[in-house]
Formats: sequence, structure tokens, C-alpha cells
Amino acid sequence: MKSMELYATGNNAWSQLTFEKTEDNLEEPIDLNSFQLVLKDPVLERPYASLACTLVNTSNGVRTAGFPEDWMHSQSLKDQILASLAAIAGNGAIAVYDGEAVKQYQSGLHFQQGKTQSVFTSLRDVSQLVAYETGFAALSTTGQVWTWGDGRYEACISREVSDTSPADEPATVPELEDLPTGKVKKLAAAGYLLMALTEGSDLYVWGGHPGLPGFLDDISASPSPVVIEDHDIADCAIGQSHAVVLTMSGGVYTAGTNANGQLGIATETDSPWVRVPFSPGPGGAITSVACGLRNSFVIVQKDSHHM
Amino acid sequence: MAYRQLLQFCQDAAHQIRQECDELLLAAETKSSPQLQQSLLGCGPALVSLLSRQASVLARLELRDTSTTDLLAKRLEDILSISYSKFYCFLFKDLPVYWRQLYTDACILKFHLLLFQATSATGSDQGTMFLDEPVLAELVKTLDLALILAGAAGEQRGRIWVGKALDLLHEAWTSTQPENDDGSVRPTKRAKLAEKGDELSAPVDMLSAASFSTFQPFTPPVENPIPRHRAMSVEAFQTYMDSPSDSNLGPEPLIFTDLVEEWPARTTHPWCKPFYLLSRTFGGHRLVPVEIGRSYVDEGWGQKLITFGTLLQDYIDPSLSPDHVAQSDKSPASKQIAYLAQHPLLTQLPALRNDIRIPDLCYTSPPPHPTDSSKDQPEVDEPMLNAWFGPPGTITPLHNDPYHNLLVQVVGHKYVRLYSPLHTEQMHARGKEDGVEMGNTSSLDVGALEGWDRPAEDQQPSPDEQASEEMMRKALKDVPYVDCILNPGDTLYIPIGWWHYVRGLSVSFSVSFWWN
Repeated sequence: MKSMELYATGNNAWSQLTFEKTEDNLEEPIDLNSFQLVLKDPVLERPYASLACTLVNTSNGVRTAGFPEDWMHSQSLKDQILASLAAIAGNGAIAVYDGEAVKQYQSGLHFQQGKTQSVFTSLRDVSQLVAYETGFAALSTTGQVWTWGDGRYEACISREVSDTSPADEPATVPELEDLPTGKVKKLAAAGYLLMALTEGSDLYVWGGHPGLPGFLDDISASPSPVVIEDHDIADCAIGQSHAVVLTMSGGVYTAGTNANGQLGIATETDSPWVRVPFSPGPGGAITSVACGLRNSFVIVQKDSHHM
Repeated sequence: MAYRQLLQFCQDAAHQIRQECDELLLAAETKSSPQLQQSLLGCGPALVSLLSRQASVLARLELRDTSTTDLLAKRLEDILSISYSKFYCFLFKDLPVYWRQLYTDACILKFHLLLFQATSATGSDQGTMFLDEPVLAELVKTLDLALILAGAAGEQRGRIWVGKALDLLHEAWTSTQPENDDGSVRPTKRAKLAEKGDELSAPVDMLSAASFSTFQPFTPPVENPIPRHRAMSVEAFQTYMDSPSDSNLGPEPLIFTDLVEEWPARTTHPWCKPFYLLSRTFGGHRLVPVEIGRSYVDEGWGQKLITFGTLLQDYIDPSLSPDHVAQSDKSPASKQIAYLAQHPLLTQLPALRNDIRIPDLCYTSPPPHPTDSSKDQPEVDEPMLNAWFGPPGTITPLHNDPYHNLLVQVVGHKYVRLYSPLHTEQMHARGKEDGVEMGNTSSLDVGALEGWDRPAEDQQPSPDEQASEEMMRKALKDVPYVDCILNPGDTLYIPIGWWHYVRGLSVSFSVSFWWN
């Protein structure tokens, strides 16, 4: 018998880190400044956190905390988002993979009305779809990474943009093919930053916004390896202006802005990679990490002897 | 009195914000309509609810309850940064107005909170209070950010609310300032600019106050002077534009020497006096956007927001600074140029708007673009006003505009050179750069080609660059142009499509009127 635990830190302005409602409380909810246990269940999948809401698949179906967002009215969109096969960009655009093509909608309203902006039939065998502020990235089952979005922020697109291969149509990123430690198995994106994790546990990062200071050094349009004390990387997640990484040896590292406590450490200034003093406890192992726009999550698996 | 009025004004706004949000949230539960999506609800119900909650917390605030005010301040910053991040997601013209309103309303609540905290700190609720300089600066900045970044959007409050709040704040502030014998206040008394007891902090009347330095480090020669006229009647100007000597070219540039003689900015409300400008900008606390760097096509050029006082003291006229002597030791080349350029300053500061008049000549029907009708814009109801204020050496590179322009020189001197639209092909227009259309700007650098600007020693041009520069110099050599030095009080008529290069020679303050 196994049990799983969800720990969270950061923005809680909409009580999106409070799964167990005790009573109606008129007090304004406060943010969490370190990783706290927020949910326990025999089965917990990686949560999806929007600005105001957290969704997580459990043994009892999807549990929700926080303020319900408009897009949650659509069960199919909710399912696709939880399966990482749909994503919402900062500019409101929605992309959904339906098994045959990626359909893009300009806004939530257009999605409701079924008005597609673009249909990309070239995108097949999508295993993951992620969004950043002004665009999207998709991963195929063969490990290819596709990007598309607003051409003003070319660093996020990370490939040659031309008349035949415009910024706002998906095309593959050549620099993420034939990597030394195997193909890409996972993507993460938010703000103006994107990450790709390889099967050989290397993490690459690219992106940036020419007018905004980034929170990681030396970020460019060209994917570069994230180096954290020579650790192999097991998992990664990105928020609006912070990121969380899980190393193969079980360490959780965070970087970026801590305005809402999303780094899970006691610092007021922007921080480079710092190890979070988080322990999964006896018999526990961290299985994955996740980010909302302004909060962070850690999932722990416990064996029965320590329940 | 004004202070108490201001607090009430803020409380009314908080109440109104809460009501507007709650009505929208209620409406969203019962129906979903495209109209609702265009309201604040476009930001999503979660943010509308968060804003409403903060307005409601503000209404219930009790003095000295710091844990509540800390959380409130944080949540307002959250809303500000969330909405501000959307300003980058969209081109400004595509930015949905609800994001600008959310930012503006959060600024209004933040202003209220700051005012509340200031009251709480001084324990004053007597209808008067003394505002500390840093508090005042923060209050002014909060509303200026709403004006400059978000265009103070919103139907119920918006620009009108922000303007009135600033007026009341000014009234509250000046009522606590010591008065001079003649009843005029000395708003600069506590301002940083006058800390060390220079002439600005001494009792002064407007006329004897110091003017900006008229020093011109460099004066280019005028080779093909533009004709100078005394003001024309509207009819004569219309006739001038309708019957050009070259019908392919249309009307040509002119200078009017006495069009603005009656402007308060040139007489009773002198813009040439730092003292006066400071009195109209909260002792220099108002925030303005400036361009830093020689010219907007240069490497390292950038835009930032600074206070008007900093602009005056650190960039426009260092002789105003109490530390002037120490500063003059530094090489002037190490100092960056700041230029308040193409900013609707007079919309942001209505007090200065009253010092000028829209020239009657703008109420004419000028001809369309002489060579390229695709440049013609939809007719504007009112002329578009922009302010241009900077130290000697500011440069606006060779470019053209899609409007007819009256450029009024209010303070100081400017050199302007113009090439006609018939020579557009020789102007080497730029293309799209980093996703931004630069086709109205020439790649020719008049200052460099004429040898007026020397490249910095560490930026010597490569042989390739030298060769291309030499080629351009030859290409431009035989292209005819007209030029002039605008004196204070001069008005230059720049017809639509004419390429112009503008160079500030001294401290210079100009206002441009675009019309069609």
C-alpha cells in the first residue's frame, strides 16, 4: 500500500493551495513561504496550476482548489489540459491537440464559439503541448520539439524564422535534435522561458525577452544546458518568473522571483539556483515537481511502513 | 480640506470598484456575452474577484493594522504585475482595454492605501496633513504609472479620476507648504533640487527666476535657409498649401516667426524657467518617459521613466544642480543624453497644456501625401500634440511622418534639415527590424556624414563601414535640402512626407502639432 503527498508553496491569493476547506473564512488567504503538505491520496498525478486554480488527478477523480477558471466549464478542455495535450498562453490563445492536428484558438471566447484561428495538421503524434506568454511548444513521441508564436520574441521560437517558415506556424527546433544524451522526453514553458529534458537527464533552457531582465544568466535563443552542481536532472517546471528542478539524487532546486514565496526558501531577492531545504520524510521519495504561474509543487511517494 | 476631500474621493473610488466588479461577477454567472468579455471581466473572473476583495479590504481598513495593509499592498502588487505582463504579450494597439483598466484600478487602490498609510503614520485625521517627500513621490508615481503605462483606462474612473486626484493632492500638498510674501507657494522648498540653498529655494518671483542655460556647444552652418514669414492668416496659409510652385511636390517648409507670441508659455508662464516647470510638476516629482542615448537608432539606446526633477537636474541643465561644480570635472562625453521625445506630456500635465494654444493654422485642410497616398491617415478630429524637451545634442534621426506638422520652438534653439519626398529613394529607408517597422526612418546619419558627430574612440568604424559611409556621403552630396535654426518663438511648418533631421543645439523645449 502506497500513499502520495502533494506539497506546495507560493501564491495562494485564491486559496488555490487549500484543498481541505475547514469552514468559510472571511479572512484574505495568505501565501505559503515554504513547501507545506496540502493534499494526501493513494494516487496523485502531477497537478496543473493556472493563475488562480489547482487541479490534480487523484484516486477519487480530479480535485480542485482555488477559483474556477472560465476554461474549466469545458470538460474536454480540462481533460486535455490535465493530460498536457492542451495549453493556454499568456496572451489568451489556446492550443489543443485532438489526436489528429493542433487547433489554435485566439481566446477562450473563440474556443467556446468553436472559432479556430489555425489548424496545424503537420503536427502529429504529439505527446506534450506547453505554452509560454506569447506562443507554444509541442513534443512528438519521436522526440522532436516544435515551436511557434509571436515573432517579436524570436528567442522563444529558437529556430530560423523566414517567409516559408513563419514564427506563428509550428516548425521543429534543429538544435534540439541529435543531443548527446538522447532525445527530448519532456518540455516545460512559462513566461518567456522554455526547457527541454532529455532521456539522458540533461536539461536545456532557451528564450528570454529583450526588454525584461530574466532570472537565469546567459539565456538566449540557443538551447543551453542547465548546470546545477553536475547533477543529472529528473524533472523540471517553469512559472511566470521562476523555475523548479528535481535532481536524480532527490534534491529540489528553485530559481527566480520569490515575491509570492514560490521558491520555498527564505529570500526576498531574486535567486539563482538554490537547493530547497525540503525533505520527503522517512520512507518518502520525491517523484516529480510542478509550477503554477506564481507557485510551486512537489509530489512525494511514501511506502506503507511510514504512513 | 483638500486632503479630506482626497481621502473621500479615494473611498468613493474603492466603493465604486467593488460595486463594478461584483455586478460583473454576478452577470457572468447568469449569462456569457461578448459585451461582458470586453468589460473588466475579460481579465477573467478570478482577477475581478481579487480586485473586488482588495477594494473591500481597503474600505474596512483600520488604523495601525499593519498585517492587513502588508497583505493588501502585496495583492495590489500582484494585480499590477499580472496586468503589466500582458502589456508585453500584445502590441499596444492590440492590448485589450480591460488589462489597462485592471492596471489603472489597481493603481487607484494602491494610491488610496498609500494615502491611508500616510495618515496612519502621522496620526492626522484633521483634514490637513504633512506629506513626507518620499511618500509624496510614491503617491505621484503610482498615478503617473497609470497615466503613462496604461493610459489610465476605464470609463467610470480612468483618466478623469486620476487627473482630479492629482489636482486634489497638489492642493493638499501646497496648502501645507510655506508661502511667500506675494502669496505664491514655493513648491521646490523641500525638493531635492533645491536642497543646498541655491537661488531656486530663495524667495523668488517668476520673472527674476533663473532661465535655462542658453549655451550651444556646437552650431551647424545653415546652407539653404527656409523662408521666414510673419504669421499668415488661415486663408493665406490654405492658399499657400493649395497652390504650390511645384505641383508634384506640394507645399514646402516655411517658418513663422510670430505665431506664438501670445502663448503663456512664452510670457506669463515661462517654460524657459526651471522654477516654473517645477511648480507645474509637483516640485519635479511627476514622472516622464525619456529616451536615453544619442538617437533612437543607436546601440544602447533605451527608454525609461524618471522624475521631471531628475530630468532637469541630471540631464537637461546640470548648472541647476547644487553639485554642479563637482560635476563639471567629469568629461561631458561620459554623460548620457536624455530626451523627452514624442510624449503627449501636455495630456499628462493639463496645467502645462493651458500654457499653449492650438495654432489656428491647424484648422486648415492640407493636401494629401504628394507621392505615396498609402501614407495618408484617417482624418484626426484634433491636432495631436507632442512635447520634445532635452539638453543640447539631442538628435531625432532623418525620418518622415504621416501628418503635416507645425513644430513650435518654445525654449532654446534647434537645427532642422529637410529633404523633400521626391528624394525618398535616396534616403535609404530602413526595413523591418526585430519585428518592428522602421521604414519611415533613413539609415543616413546626417551628423556623422557632416562630421558634426565623431564616433567614440572605442567605436571606430571598420573599413567596411567607412566605405559605406563614404558611399552614402557621395550619394547624399547632390540631394537638395533646406535647413534652418529655430529660435525661441519660431514655428516650422513641415509638410507631410518631408524627411527631417532635428538636432537640439541648446536646452530646448518644443511642441509639435500633427494634423491632416
